[in-house]
Amino acid sequence: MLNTNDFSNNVPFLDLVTPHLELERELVGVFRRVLHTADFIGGPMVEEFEKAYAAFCRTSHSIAVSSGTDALRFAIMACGVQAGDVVLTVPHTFIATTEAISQAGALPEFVDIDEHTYNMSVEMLQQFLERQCSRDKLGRLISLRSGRPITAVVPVHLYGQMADMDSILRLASQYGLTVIEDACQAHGAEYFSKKFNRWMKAGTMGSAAAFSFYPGKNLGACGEAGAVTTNDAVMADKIRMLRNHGQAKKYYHDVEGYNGRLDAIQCGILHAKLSHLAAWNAQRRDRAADYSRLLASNKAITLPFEPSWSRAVYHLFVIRTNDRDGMIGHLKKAGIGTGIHYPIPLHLQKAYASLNYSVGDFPVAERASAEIISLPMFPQLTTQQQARVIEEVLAFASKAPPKQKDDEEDLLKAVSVTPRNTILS
Amino acid sequence: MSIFIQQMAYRDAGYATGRFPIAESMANRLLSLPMGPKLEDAGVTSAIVTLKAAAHG
Repeated sequence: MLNTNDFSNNVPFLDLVTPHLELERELVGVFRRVLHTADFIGGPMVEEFEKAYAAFCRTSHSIAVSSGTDALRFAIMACGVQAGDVVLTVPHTFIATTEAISQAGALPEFVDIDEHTYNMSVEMLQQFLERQCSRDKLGRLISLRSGRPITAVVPVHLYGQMADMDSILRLASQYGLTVIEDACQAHGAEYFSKKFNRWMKAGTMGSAAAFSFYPGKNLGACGEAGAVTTNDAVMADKIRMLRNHGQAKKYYHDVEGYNGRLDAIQCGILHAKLSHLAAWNAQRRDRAADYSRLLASNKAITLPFEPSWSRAVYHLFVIRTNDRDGMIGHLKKAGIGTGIHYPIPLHLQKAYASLNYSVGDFPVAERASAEIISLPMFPQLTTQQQARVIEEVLAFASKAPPKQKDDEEDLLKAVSVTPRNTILS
Repeated sequence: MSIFIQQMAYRDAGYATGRFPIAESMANRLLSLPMGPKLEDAGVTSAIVTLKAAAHG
């Protein structure tokens, strides 16, 4: 990742400097305001941002917390998942999703993703619930894999596009599961719900949703930050308690909580940036449309798929090609930054060896992880920069005809030879 | 006179009021006075005067 202003011909994967320089006065003003009141923790700046973010998401509550990981952990804990329960999610996501599940005391289990959207496959979820679960004497849904009760599902709105929420919610309600959205990459993404006959925003459909404001996100802080959104007042109160050492009142600890508050400076910064988010998302959608239009002719490249029920906000623009590593090498030589989100699916990470999954368990996620490339995508990406990216992608894709590789073997190799610190980074 | 309220977070730990009499007594009797590098003499004096009045009153 290049975080610098780059005046050369190079195209950074992400330019974080330009948007901050554009807002310099506003952001410094935030710091000055906090400096003059010394309301560093809690206070009006936090509450004002929470109100504004809830209004943006169209939820009744938003609770600012220290990171997206904490947001998801608190949401899972507050929705009633008990220690030892199973929480279902996808293997094709950042590890924070499963860290939050484990740290809430639950056990992650996976269902495969959809080939086209890279989000949770509804078919796979249904198959899992029908074939890999049973009911115990108490009528609880039990995972045959672990013998533990399944109580929640965490669909991830990956790359800025929502999962098929109507279908996931229908299955969840049929099986008595709570749905918590991992919306850490989907600020402002929308989904057309046939059930409600309207467009609905990420963060409004599950019992609660986790957002991350990590600096590179569509809405990013100048540091670590996150939030939970929910329409459930009881859940909101529980999360407020969890983030603040379990206190309902100062020094009265109803439960053991966490140090998970978001400080006033970050809230002020996020509030200032929030007024630009809709415009930034629109710019991302424009860039994505341009990429898709200009890369469409090449058969060696698979473009992102946006179903008619989705309005994605393109946190990442992810294409797919057989010779992925070749293309990344070519783009690197041409001075173009890229990323892989993510190269090793979670069920094959060393951290989850104890879950006893193996290569081949989630073929769609495994194939995707071997073929995906994230191209430069940020609101300030210029037409010239984008033209350069497209030119180089096409140059490589047309000169090197796609060769078929044995993905499974590659993945095995990658997993077995990648040093531990690389896997964890 | 003194009220000891158990933390709800640890209600399952099996402790009862009276188990830690010194800590319980302190929790009911301690107070922290204004303190900081920028606390001025006038502030200290005012705190002392108020405290003395309260102690004798």
